[in-house]
Amino acid sequence: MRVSVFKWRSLLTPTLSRHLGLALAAFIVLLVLSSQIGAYDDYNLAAIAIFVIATTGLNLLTGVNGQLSLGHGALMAVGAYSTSLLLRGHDLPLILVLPASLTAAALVGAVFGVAAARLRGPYLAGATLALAVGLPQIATRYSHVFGGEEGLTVAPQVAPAWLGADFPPERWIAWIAIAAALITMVLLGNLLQSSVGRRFKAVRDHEAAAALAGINVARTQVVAFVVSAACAGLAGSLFAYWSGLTAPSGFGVALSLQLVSAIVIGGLGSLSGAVWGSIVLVFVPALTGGMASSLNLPSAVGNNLPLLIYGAVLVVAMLLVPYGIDGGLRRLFALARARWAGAASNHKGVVDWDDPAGG
Amino acid sequence: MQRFVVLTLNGLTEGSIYAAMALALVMIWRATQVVNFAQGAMAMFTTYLALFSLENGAPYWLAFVIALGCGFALGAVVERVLVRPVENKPPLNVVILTLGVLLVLEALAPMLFGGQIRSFPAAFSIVGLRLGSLQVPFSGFDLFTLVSVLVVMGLLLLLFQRTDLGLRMRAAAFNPEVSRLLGIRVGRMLTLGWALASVVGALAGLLIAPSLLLYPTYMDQVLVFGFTGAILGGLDSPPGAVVGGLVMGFALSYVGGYLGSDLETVGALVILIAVLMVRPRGLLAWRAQRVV
Amino acid sequence: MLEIVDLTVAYGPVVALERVSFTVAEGSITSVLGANGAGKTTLVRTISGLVRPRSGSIRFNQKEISRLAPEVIARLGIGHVPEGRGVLAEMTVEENLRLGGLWRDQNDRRASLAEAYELFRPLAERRHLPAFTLSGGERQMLSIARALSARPRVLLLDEPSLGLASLVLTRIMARIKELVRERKLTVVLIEQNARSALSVADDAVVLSLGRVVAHDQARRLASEEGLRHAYLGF
Repeated sequence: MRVSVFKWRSLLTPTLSRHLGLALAAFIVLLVLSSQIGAYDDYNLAAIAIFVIATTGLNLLTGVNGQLSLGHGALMAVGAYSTSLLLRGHDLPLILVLPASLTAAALVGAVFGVAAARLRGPYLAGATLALAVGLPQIATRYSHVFGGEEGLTVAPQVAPAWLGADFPPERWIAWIAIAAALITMVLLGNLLQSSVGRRFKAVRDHEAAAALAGINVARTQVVAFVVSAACAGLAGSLFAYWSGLTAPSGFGVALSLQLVSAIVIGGLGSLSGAVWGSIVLVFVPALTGGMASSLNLPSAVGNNLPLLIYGAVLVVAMLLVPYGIDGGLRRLFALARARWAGAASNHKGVVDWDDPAGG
Repeated sequence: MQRFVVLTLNGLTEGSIYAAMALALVMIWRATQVVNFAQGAMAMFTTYLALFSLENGAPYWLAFVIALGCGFALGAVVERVLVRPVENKPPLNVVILTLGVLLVLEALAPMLFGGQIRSFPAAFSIVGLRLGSLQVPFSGFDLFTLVSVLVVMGLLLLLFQRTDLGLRMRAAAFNPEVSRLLGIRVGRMLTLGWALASVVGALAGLLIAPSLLLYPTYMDQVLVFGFTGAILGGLDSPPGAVVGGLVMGFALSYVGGYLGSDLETVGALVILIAVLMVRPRGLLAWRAQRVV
Repeated sequence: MLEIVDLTVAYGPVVALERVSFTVAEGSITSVLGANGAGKTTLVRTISGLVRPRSGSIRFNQKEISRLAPEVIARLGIGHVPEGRGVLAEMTVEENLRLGGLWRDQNDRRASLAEAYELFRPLAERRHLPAFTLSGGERQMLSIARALSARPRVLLLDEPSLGLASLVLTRIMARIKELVRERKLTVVLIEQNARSALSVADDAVVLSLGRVVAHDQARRLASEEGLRHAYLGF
């Protein structure tokens, strides 16, 4: 029996309205929050929203579908370079540039997904790592197109006139990024609840069993890769607007590894995990950077302190919260609820997550 | 033709270093099913320790031995203290953990030893050898590199194939439970496996430092090429690691020489992906894929 | 030789063994019988240290071993032939056998290697091939031969008949009986097939849902019709 893997209809499930409501509420809260904070914090908020888009997509691929990608930074680069190239000499509106960049990354993702579907575990990790290492070098090699090491500049988005003349551009890009992140989360949230999402999980949990149940494993894996790459492309495109510059140095292996570390620290396989991870990804370096510069340390120490702390956070998090922040919180809630009910012995069924309590 | 010879010799030398790195990764993979992304950074750190010893008056060979010894200790500590506790956690956790170790070491090195780029001495001349009146593009240090990697591989082969200790280490890696029933202290064997692998990694770090120069991230690309070499050969196969490492060395050298140095990496990675498409578990994968 | 007192084992909330007590005399064969899920495998895994008991004690030569690590218990002289996957498939037949004799001196090792090849001809022919090339029965032979090369004082056999031709099994059991007589080897034998187990054993313990429901001489148990029907299925 052949089962069509992807149905657009599956994006419009009954839970959609609930998700939409939540997203709308979150959007309003975040807009209010964004208006109360300074330009630098808005800049960081935009960064978090951009990373949320990329990590949600990566979490779908790695956490839900079980394919490890160490190359999502390269797919972000595809989105960012598409945006930069489209805007070079043309003044296209953002509303056209974003979907175009997303499509470009999805196409690259489709090609790579077909290859990735043949690979497992560390072999997939190695091949995607190769993508992360290799792709930025193409930008250097064909510098007449991609601007070489200096990269391509992108003019910042100007807020519409009705928001006032002194509306900060950081806030405007933050609003755009937040809207894009929430739309992504609503769509992927619905996808996860649909039969497509169940197929993703079935393939992750037991490939042979999934195949026996009539699921086309390779096709499911390619679809997951494409959806995930599209998210990375969207994030990359916004990244180009946000940073104003698209250069190979911004899309090195480090970016790909940061994305993976974010989803593991946040919590594999859940939307909120991607959000937590992105917050850690942006705030830990920002906080430690500020701290290091205020301590008046020698430059060799001060410059490397944020990196040291970030590395230590990764190590300690893996030792202490093995199921990520999301898993840790869920367990905490489960415990609290069990205590509330006065029956600490029976907290089964409260945790409907991939068994973080350890089976 | 002459160009070809130069590129081949160059590929052989660099390939032997990638082979050593690949072998270190394969040893750890076989022992604990972990890809140790911190392997390169650990080698970087021990090479800094060698430089530190040299600057404090130690002779070259003593510094060399210190680096290898510290590699042994570092490998053992990382396995016992950090990797062991996440053994039964989701498999991605240990990947992130080794990335964390990598970042910590790359931050710690400039804090302790200074962040500027340093040169690292070679044990032998790095000027091409003379055969009669002909100068070949292969130096005494290149020869030393090749020979020491070969010697280490030979020693490991002897250890694993001919000694009880090697037999115990292999058994512990293949099947911990059965090994324990045979009286083998599995935990100790796995720690030893990491320690020995880190010695091999440290050797790679020492051997490539003179040509790459020493800075906190200088081993990153060696790790990437070693890892791609290891999966090219098949992560379960030590001979595969050696073959894969050498293939990477030659591929990088030829692509860089004939197509331009900025395509070096891309070319080598295209080869990797092409090989994986045909053989998804590496060139020398002989073990049937476990189904169910 | 082996004294088990009030042994209770649980996997989370599931109790696998409940207050199990019996004694195995030196130089005897004790058969542990019972249906699937009765707790037979859990029992031998607990004796060899792979499973931690919740309470109770296991004494080997008056020494408490129930809290020791499996590798320590193995070196004390308790050999365990696990059910099914006992051989190291990636290693050669000879390497598997060498692993059995790790803790003995060179002469003993050579002797037991020769003995193993003598007893199990098919192994001698394939000594340098990886064990995954062996058939199921040959793997079982290898697993038993490896355990015997360690010269254990106590041998725990978990379903040795699985996959073995009955002729081979008869030879193995004959050899084991010889060792029991000559070297005072003590054997705990787990079997599905109660009839054949009772024919070789001196004593037998019948487990049902984690409890001992009978413990007596094998001969006498075999003649108790009610017990046979209720628990042993023949």
